[in-house]
This record gives sequence, C-alpha cells and structure tokens, in this order.
Amino acid sequence: MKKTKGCIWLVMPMYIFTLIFVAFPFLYMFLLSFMSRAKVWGVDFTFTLANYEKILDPLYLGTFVDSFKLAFLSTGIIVLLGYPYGYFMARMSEKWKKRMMLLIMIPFWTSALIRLYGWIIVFRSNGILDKVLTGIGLTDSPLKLLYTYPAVVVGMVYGLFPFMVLAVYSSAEKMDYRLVEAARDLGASSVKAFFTVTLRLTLPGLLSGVILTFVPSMGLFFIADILGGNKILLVGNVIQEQMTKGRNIPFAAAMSVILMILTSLMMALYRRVSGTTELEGIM
Amino acid sequence: MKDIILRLENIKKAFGDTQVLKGIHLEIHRGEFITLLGSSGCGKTTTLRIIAGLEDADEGRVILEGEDITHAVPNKRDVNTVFQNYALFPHMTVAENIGYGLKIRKKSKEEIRRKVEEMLSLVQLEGFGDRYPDQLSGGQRQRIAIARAAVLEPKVLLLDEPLGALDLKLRRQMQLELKRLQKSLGITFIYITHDQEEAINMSDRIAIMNHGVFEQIGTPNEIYYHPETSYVASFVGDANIYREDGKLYAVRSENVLIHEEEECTHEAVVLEKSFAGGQLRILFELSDGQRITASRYGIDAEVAVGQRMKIGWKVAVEVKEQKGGSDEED
Amino acid sequence: MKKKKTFSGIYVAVLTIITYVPIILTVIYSFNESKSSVSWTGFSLKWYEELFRDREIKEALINSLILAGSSCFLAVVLGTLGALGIFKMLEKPEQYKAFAKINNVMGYISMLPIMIPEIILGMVFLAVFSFMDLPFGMLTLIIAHTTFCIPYVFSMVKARLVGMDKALAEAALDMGATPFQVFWDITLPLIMPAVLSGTMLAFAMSFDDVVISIFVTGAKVNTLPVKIYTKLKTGVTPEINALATMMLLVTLILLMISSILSKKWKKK
Repeated sequence: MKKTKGCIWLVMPMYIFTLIFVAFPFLYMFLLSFMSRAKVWGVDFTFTLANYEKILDPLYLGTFVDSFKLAFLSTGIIVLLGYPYGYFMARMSEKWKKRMMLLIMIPFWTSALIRLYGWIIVFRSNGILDKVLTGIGLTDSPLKLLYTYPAVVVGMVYGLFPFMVLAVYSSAEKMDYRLVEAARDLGASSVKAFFTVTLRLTLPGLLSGVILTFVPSMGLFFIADILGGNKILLVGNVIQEQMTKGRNIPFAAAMSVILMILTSLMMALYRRVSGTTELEGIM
Repeated sequence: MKDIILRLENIKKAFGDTQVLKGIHLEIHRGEFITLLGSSGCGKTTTLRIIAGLEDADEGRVILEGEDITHAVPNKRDVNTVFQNYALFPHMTVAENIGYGLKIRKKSKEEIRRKVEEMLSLVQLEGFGDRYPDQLSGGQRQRIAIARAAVLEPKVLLLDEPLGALDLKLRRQMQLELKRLQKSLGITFIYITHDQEEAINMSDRIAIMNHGVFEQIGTPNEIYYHPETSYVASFVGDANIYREDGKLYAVRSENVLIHEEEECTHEAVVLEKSFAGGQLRILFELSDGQRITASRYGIDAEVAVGQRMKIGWKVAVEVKEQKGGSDEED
Repeated sequence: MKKKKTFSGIYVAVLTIITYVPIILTVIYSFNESKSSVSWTGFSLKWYEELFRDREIKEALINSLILAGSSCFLAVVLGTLGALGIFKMLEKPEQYKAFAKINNVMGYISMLPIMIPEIILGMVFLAVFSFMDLPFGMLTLIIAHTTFCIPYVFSMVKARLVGMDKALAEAALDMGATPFQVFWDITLPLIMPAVLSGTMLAFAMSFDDVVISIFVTGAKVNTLPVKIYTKLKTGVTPEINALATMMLLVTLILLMISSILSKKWKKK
C-alpha cells in the first residue's frame, strides 16, 4: 500500500483556482483599503488610513448601524415566523413533508428578483394591498407602502425566509421526538419541555438559519433598491455606489473589509455556540 | 504434518501510540474453520485486515501457500472478505454484486451468469438476483455477502463478525448454515467473533486473542476443558480464577459446590444472588477476600444473602497468568 | 393534541399562502391587457408576444444559460476533484500530516465566497479584474460565478464521501478491483446524486445572481437577472410579468424532472 501522494493532484486545480481568484482578490481588497483614491479613476498606491477614518463619518457609520438594524429586524422576524414553520413541517406526516418541501422549493428556486417583483404589485399605491385594506374598511386612503421601510423589511423577510425554514426543518427532522415525550413523562410542562429539549436540540438548525439570513441580508442592496426606492441606504448600497458612481474603490474596499470582519465575527460566534463549521439546511 | 495454507509470522501493528498487535504467530491449515475470538479492541479485526491487505503490517510476514504476500495490494491477493456490515454495493443488484469480482476477472457473461446462479442456489436465495440490497432482510444480505466473496473461490475466506448484526434466533440458524457452506465449498474460513458460544459451535480451532497476543490456540475442546491462561478460562468458560500459594486455578462456576460435601473446605459468605439465563448465580466472598461465583440450573440452592457457609470444588485446572495484560493497562 | 395539529396546520398553510401571493399575482397580471398592474382590464397574451419579440431579453437569457452552464461545469470538475482529493487525504492522515493545515486554510478560503455578503465578492472582483486588466464580459462573469459555485459542489460531494461506507471501496478492492476500477464502479456512481444536486444548486445560484453579476458584467454583456434588475429600476412593465411567469414555469418543470429522476434513482 505504499502509494504516491497522488491525491494532491486532485485538489491542485481547485486550490490554484481558489488562490488566484479568491485568496488573491481578498488580499488585494485588504491592501486597497489602505490606498488613496486616484484623481479620475482607479487607485493611487500610496498608504493612507483615510478610508477607515471616513467610515467613522456619521453619514457612513449610520449606514452600518442602519444595515445592522435592518438585518437584526429581518432576522428576528424570520426566526419568529420561520422557526415554528420549519418545526411544524418536520412534525408532519411523510406525505405532507414531501408536499411542503416542494412548496418551499418552488419559490426557493425562483429568481429572487421575480419574487420581489410580485411585492411591487402588492405594495404599489392603489395596488392589491391598498384595495383589500380599503375594501374591508381597515384604512380610508392608500397606504403607499412601496418605497418605504416596511416594504424593504417585508422584502428581506420574504427573500430569506426559505433559508431559515430549511435549516430549522433539517435539524428538527433529525430530532428524536421521543425525547420530548420523555421530558413530558418526567413531568416537564410543554413550555418547559420545549425550552429544555426541543429548542436545545434544534439550536444548530436555528443558528445556521440565523447565519444564512443575517449574513446575506447585510449585502442585499437590490432589495432596498427596488422596494425602498433610493430612500433607504444600506452598507451594500454605499459599497455599490462607491464602486460605480463614486469611483472610490479604496473606500468601498475599506467598507467591505469592515463588513467582512463583522460577518466573520458572527460566523465565529456561531462556531463557538454550535460547535460545528457546517451550516445546516442548505448543504 | 498438516498442510499449512496461511502463516502469520511475528506480525506487529501500531496505530499511533497504541500497539494493537504485539508480534503474533499463527498457522492455518487447509480447509479448516478457524475462529479468532476476543473482546472488542483485542486486535482480531486488525489481524484480518492485514491478511486481506487492507492494513499494512509494521513488522512480520504474511505467507499464503509459501508466497510472501505481506505487502501485496489487496486486489492481488487470493483471499476474500465478508465485511462486518456486509458492504453490499447499494447501486448494484444482487446478481451484479455477486458477479462483480468475476467481471473484474474478465469472465464471460455466460460464465458469470452461471456462477451467480450456482452461488444463489447454494445460499438458498434462487430468484433474488434482480433485487437490490435494500430490498433484502438482514439474513438475506448476509448470505449475499458470503456468496459474493465465495464465488471467487479464494484460498482463504475471511469473515469479520458476519453474524454480529443479526438477532439471536437468526444467528443460530446462520451458524449452522455457514458451517454447511464451508463444508460444501471446501474453503479455509478465518472467522472473527466476540461470542464464545458461536466460536465453540462452529470452529475446528479457536485462537483466543487478548490485547494483541494469542492467549491460546486449540480445538474447542482444548480451549474449554484445558484453558492455558486465566484469560481463556474466564472468557470462554466463565470460570472463577482462584489464587492459592502463588498458583492460579480456574474453577468453572457450575463446578462450585455449595452443599456440605467433603470438598467444601473454604469459609465463605453469600454476597449476592441473581438470575441469569435461567441459572441461579451466587456470589461468594472467601475469608481471604477472593470472590467466587457459583451457578445452578433451577432453584435448588436455598441460600440467603449474608449467610455463612462452606464451599469447595472438585475440578480446578491450573492456568498461567494471562499473556495480554489486563484491561487496566490501557 | 388534536387542537395543536390544527393550529400548526393553519399556521403553515397561512404562511405558505402568503408566500405564494406575490408569485400568483405576477402570473395573473401577466395576462392583463392593461399596461398598469393597478387594475385588471381583460385577458391578453400581448405581453408574451412582446416578450418573445424582445431581442435583448433573448440575448440576456442565452448569456445567463451560457454563464450558469460553464461556471457549473468548471465548479463540478474542480469541486468534485477537490472533494475526492481532500477525502483521500483525510483517509490517511498519517501520510498527509503536512497537508492538514494547508487543507484547513484552503478549505476555509474556498468556502469564503458563500460565507460573506455577496456585495463584498462583487466589489472584490470588480477591483481585482480591473487590476488584472481582464476585459469585463463573459470571461469575468464565468470566473466570478465559478468561485461561488465551487463551494456548493465541493461541500455536497465531500459530505457524501465522508458519509459513504468505507467498507464498500474496500470490498471492491478485496474482490480484485484496481483503485481505478473502484473509483469507476463504486465511488463515482455513489457520489453521483451529490454531484447532481450540487450542480443543480450551483446552477440555480448562478442563474439567479444579480449582485455579483452587476459588478463584473461590463457594458456589453447582460445576464437575465441584470436585465430584469435594470428594467425594474427604470419602471415596471407587464413584460416582466410574462417573463416571470415563464421562468416560474421552467422552474416547475425542472423541479418535476428532478423529483422524478430522484424517485427513479431511489427505486434503483
């Protein structure tokens, strides 16, 4: 069984590709964040900390705060809605599990833009929602929800909801429900049994769902763009604008570095709490 | 002089810091059914994997019919293995599973079909050729796994706890069937188990392993009635090991006498009474602190916990200290 | 107990219906005669006609298919080989001690593209491709998409390999198969479902991607999501409704095919 180290040639192509097109670009981004902005377009390679100082400007710091607020708010709503959904789904009969899976997968595989587009129809002034609400007499005048903050939140929640459901579902499905019954048998109330057994055992799924919704929500600038008009400015939007219209690549790089550090911290926290590196649900 | 088909010479193997095999010797005769018996972690599976070529020995030689195959790759060895959990290929039918080795050997389709049919009827599963492994019961899978390995007519067939996953009733039935199969195939079987009853029922010879060495190699009779070491006596015969004047004696629990007879010379106190397998088991403590278990069928012993009485034994075999060291070692 | 079942059933049903409201509305309004999606003025297929006449959309669709196809292909090749290599090394930790650290670091780096907000990846690629002086267009799109397709294929195939019964390969070896035959007869068929589902996920992610594509697409090449995005930003046209409906239909058909295939697979 004295074998040559042939396996290395199997991983080589992937490693080389990863080094050139992932490791190097990220290194470059890191370096860029300390460079100056060129007069017209491009980068002036002189060292500066100005980009990071600029982030401290209340205008930009505010976008970080806003983005986090929105991400927390959306993630919170997704947890509250998605956790029971995924859990209930896991408790259904095999037949219904399959049906529900299909129902979840259809929107999941449908273009995010297309799904967002449907909400424009719902939210636009005098659109479906306004008509229904005035129809049943809840409101007198159109709410004009499109291009408002709530619309963006709905868009975020809607777009990322399936990730949470799938993560919770896969974790709850693996759970041995007899453990809950055992806890009940030992005298735990249903609430107590939920918090001591069910929640503990499905925590990996819940946490990975949080990561899978929180991390992308920091960067989904197009949701804020389409459903929020140009009124709501998030980190993603700033980075995008600085790259395209503002042409300040070093500053965009600095913002990306900060955003990356923040999301990496989230991931590290996740690893600490859940003890694994694998994200449940998607893989 | 017996015809030796396989010889292990001073095989050593370590995984990291753990010495799993400490230089074992074994000679296996042509056509015999030999069992490697031992508790889990004693090194029996490693021995088998070294014979199969799935593990590389650190030291020593494996000699098959006079040819040194110590470092031959597994696919070039004339031995085949029946794996613990059968390892049937889930994406192939039963017939494809059995025929796989023949296909590798580039046999003609006709020959493969014929041999597969032969094997299926030998394991009494005619007509199962088109099924997939997950459509079979545990016992059926077991037979297919044996058929798959045996169809290649290896010089030696290695079986790694093949009945371990079956329930007791099915196990007993399969024990008989395996023995029958071995007779009709005429192939040398090296069988691994941790179940001493299974080993005694099926084997021509038993090699008892403990912590990487053989404690004793012999026929079931020799092992059962003439244990050489304390380990063999307690593992196979469920015997008490009694120490006296620096010597060790094995006393089988059923040979412990508890009624007033002339052999009853030891003062003892009853510590515990329990039932196990239809037997009454009584645990005694002798005055010097040694503990002896007696067993009886039926409830003929009217003893009470705490009662003082005299016990003794007629049959005690002198044994040596176990070779493999004790469990506390690792 | 009964009450609980009813509650959970209603809960799931209500949320599921809400999930489908915007999708169904999109489908309904794609048949609306009127240009506005505010009022219903009558059934019409004219937006479909317009959609099929739209050369730009057609071009964008073809671009998206080429892009998703080629990045998936690259990801399948690189990711599957990578997973096999890593798995082989994990099997013999003694022999590959020196690589354990490298594998850990590289494993982390290769997963980065799907672990961070997409916007960062887009930004990074825009910066680095202009630094490398690569012409923005299909090439840059394929490179960028391949980076985030690899992790899906890689991790799915790796998980499958790790979960595979080691004894299967050993059994084949034991029966006389060469390592190559073991790979061809045993390993490959057994990891195929993982390769396929990884590919499907990667394809969907690539086909659906807006954020990264916007950064690396350049002026000449449009992908379908980028096209839709710009259309949505400039104003709603019912043509998008028709397009959405068509895409939904394709998704449905693909899901159906995959579920039939997986059923067949299981039967085997």
